[in-house]
Amino acid sequence: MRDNDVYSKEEFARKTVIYWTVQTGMGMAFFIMAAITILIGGTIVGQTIYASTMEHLREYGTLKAIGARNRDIYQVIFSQAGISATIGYTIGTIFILLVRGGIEKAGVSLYLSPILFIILFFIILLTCLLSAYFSVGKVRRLDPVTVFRG
Amino acid sequence: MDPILEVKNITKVYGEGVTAVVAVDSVTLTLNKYEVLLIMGPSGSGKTTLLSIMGCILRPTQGEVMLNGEVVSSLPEDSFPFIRKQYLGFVFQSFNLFPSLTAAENIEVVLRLKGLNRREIGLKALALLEKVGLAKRAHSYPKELSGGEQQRVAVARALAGDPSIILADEPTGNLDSKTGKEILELIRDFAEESGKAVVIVSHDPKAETLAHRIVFLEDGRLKG
Repeated sequence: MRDNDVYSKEEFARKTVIYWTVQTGMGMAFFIMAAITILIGGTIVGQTIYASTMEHLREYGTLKAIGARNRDIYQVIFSQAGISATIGYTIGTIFILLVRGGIEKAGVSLYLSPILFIILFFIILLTCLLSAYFSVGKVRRLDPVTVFRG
Repeated sequence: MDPILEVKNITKVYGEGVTAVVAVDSVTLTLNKYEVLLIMGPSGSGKTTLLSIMGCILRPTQGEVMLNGEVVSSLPEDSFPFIRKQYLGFVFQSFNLFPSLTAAENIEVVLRLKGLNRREIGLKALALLEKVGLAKRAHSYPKELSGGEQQRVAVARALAGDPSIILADEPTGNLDSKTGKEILELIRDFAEESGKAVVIVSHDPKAETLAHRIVFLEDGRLKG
């Protein structure tokens, strides 16, 4: 047809996605918001696990003194990070599913694929595990001789 | 005499240059099997440093530590946890129980580190609590136990890994006189019963009557 572009359904969908995400800047704004959220979430989890580690340094020292290897203690810390990730993910997912209904009522259709939830879980898990890494350094340097000091 | 742990010409220096402090100075000492050895001395005499070296927690600046005839002080740092887990049991002045775990779980920690299965862990932890007279307090948390009971749990934990040597740092330091005596007797009785050697660091005169041998440390050196 003259003066008209013709697209297949898939092509038009792709073009629309590119328009909204790239040309309008919405995609970048959304990406930056998501990145900042991950950074803030990771910092909070990291600080919480670090504070918990500092609070329990004496117990970690005792564990080392009675024969635990650093890697046994890392397991404890990373398990805490894993549990935090799972709880956070579950609460977040429930929240998303609850607000989806409201958003759809407002006229915006929200498509949430199962793969998105899987990817999201691994992003959260990775963020929590990386955040726990600061605590691991503290425990690695912990000298078990401290348990003899009162 | 059958030596199980020997320290030969051990020196431990903290710091360097003008700030260097000699905590333990040229100490040679042998611990024999089935022996209860008491290390006495004033505060700051180096008792705890010596105990830490004997317990493979601290590496000496000079000298050798031999366990079962093998030099362990020159082994790489990452082999020390295995030695502690396999051969040594610790009793601390402040008990050092894990506050978020019950009495039984505190003992189970050691058994888990030793790699026992779940069933064995449960049974052994209960058997040890029974031995120290606390079977009924298996599910109590440390804060629900008296000082003496906490130290009993700590003794049970020290025995859990079936170590060859028990190292106790001021085990009566936070206990009243009567309870302290009970704890010392408990440690000695277990040592005799199961053929373990014990090193106790203490100022407590009650410990003198229970030890087979007493050594005095002053300014990091053995006296007499």
